[in-house]
Amino acid sequence: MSPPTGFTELYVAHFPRLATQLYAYLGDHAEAQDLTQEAFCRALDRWHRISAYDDPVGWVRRVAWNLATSRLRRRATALRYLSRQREEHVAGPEPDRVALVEALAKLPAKHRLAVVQHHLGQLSTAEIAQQQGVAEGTVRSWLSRGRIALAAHVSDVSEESSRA
Amino acid sequence: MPEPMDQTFAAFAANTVGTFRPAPVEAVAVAVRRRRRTRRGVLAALTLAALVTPLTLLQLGGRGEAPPPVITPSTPAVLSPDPSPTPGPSLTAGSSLERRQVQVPGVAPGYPPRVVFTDATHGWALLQRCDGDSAACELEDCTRADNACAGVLARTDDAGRTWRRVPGTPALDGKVISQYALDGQTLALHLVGEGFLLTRDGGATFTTHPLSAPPPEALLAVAREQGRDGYAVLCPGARGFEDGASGRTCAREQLVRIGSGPVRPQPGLGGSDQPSVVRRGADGRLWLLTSLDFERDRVGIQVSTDDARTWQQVPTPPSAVLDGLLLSPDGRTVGIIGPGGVLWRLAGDRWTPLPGLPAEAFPHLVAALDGGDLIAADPRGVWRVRGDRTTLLPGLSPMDSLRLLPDGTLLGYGADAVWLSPDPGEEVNRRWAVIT
Repeated sequence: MSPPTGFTELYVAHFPRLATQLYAYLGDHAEAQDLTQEAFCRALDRWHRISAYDDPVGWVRRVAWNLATSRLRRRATALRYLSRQREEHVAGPEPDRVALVEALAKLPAKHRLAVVQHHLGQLSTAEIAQQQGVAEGTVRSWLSRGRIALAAHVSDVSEESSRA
Repeated sequence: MPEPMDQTFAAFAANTVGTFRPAPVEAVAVAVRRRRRTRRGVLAALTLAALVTPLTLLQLGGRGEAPPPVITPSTPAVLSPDPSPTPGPSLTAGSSLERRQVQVPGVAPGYPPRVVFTDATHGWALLQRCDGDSAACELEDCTRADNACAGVLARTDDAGRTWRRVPGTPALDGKVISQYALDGQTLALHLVGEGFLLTRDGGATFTTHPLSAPPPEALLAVAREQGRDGYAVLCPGARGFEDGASGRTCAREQLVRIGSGPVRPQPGLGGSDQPSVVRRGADGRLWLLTSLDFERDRVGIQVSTDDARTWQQVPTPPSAVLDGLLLSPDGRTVGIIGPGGVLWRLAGDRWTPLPGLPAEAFPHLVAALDGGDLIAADPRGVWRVRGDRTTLLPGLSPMDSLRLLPDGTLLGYGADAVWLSPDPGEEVNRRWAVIT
């Protein structure tokens, strides 16, 4: 099977950017690479239909984020199970300054999704709302709460938080 | 000035984006091919179970009969142009099937070919071997980012019976390549992210072209492959290779004659959010389909009989797929596919629904033949549709795509094979060759 017209360029240009967004969301580099790869495999498998869409990249992005959300859900379930199997432990002191991806990991998943898609994926709140099937106001709320919580963890953005 | 939050994310993206490298697109194609093969295996097993169970029950009841070769549509036809079709002669595609292999002297086995034909006899093959094709990859992730593909270019002038290496090809190892074949002498290779290679003399010599200036032959080859010979619908200033990654948006697209620019006057086209598709029949008619409501599969159709100087609006069927126009090799038979595989045929200025198309037929799996027959592929196999009769062609495997070449040859792509069937002319049965 020969990669069809249009797919190769889309794949080469958008793979790294989409993988970066999933990395910020999942906090796992290898998993982000795998899920992005899977999303593009699915796109190639259905390229005859997807290429006719106005926004083929949007389709790939949606699939990749759905995969990431499912993966996160399964991971959370596994973590909950594991947490019940071990003794409670006290978290160590956090470093004064943490990497962005670690700060993002502390946000609730929906808040993190909104922050990553808006600031990294350059999606508007309306686009995120459409993708998630919720009201735009809900996304604004996620985004606002996520930014405030993120600002508390990332010194680079604390100034903005205090201004907001 | 960007907000601090945006600056933080921009810095993060700048530092991170380079750490992700997509696996070679060839390796992705291999992974998809394997996935389809697995899926087909499951589908075949389910189909077999579905067939065997009722047959077994019938035989237990003493009424076992072979299933009839004709499949009738599951929904009643509204109107058929051929209400009492005469059963045709038996189809014998299996008996006339010829097997050919892409064996290139001097090239070791294990290079999966990507084959393209431009007519019944002339074809090109890009043989690329990636790590993802190795046996060790069967159980592992075949889409590792560090795969590198070695490439060889070959051609045939006898319908794939023999192949020879193209002597003047520049080094292709490690490149991500799309190939655009215009005819037996002209081939453009798009080295993604680098530029274009073009030969006009069957591969004896190649010229190089920057990404910013694709050779017109590449655009012409894509146009011919997509049934719009010599024409394209583009945003102003677009080069024609932007679809996907760097797609332009515009308020109004233009119909372009490749090599000479936008036609004058322009037909009424929408913007890039309301895409249009152009098709050109061998009878000279140009067809323009414009999406009126993409979600509801509503299109507007215009036709020109004077080389794009004037356009007439054509009545439209209730629903149609934007890329669903079917034109026979002589351009006289015109059909369009709607959602769910419904087929409409144009008779005069009326669209008549035709039954019989396999339910899973998509535009890239259906070809209209001269005289009104259709050839359609679905996961069960390849079918001939004549009037309201649908007959499975024996000996042919399911195909992922099927299209007509300008000389009436059918070119189909399966999971691991290319299918070639020249125009049979006056003969009833088509001859098929499978090339692996």
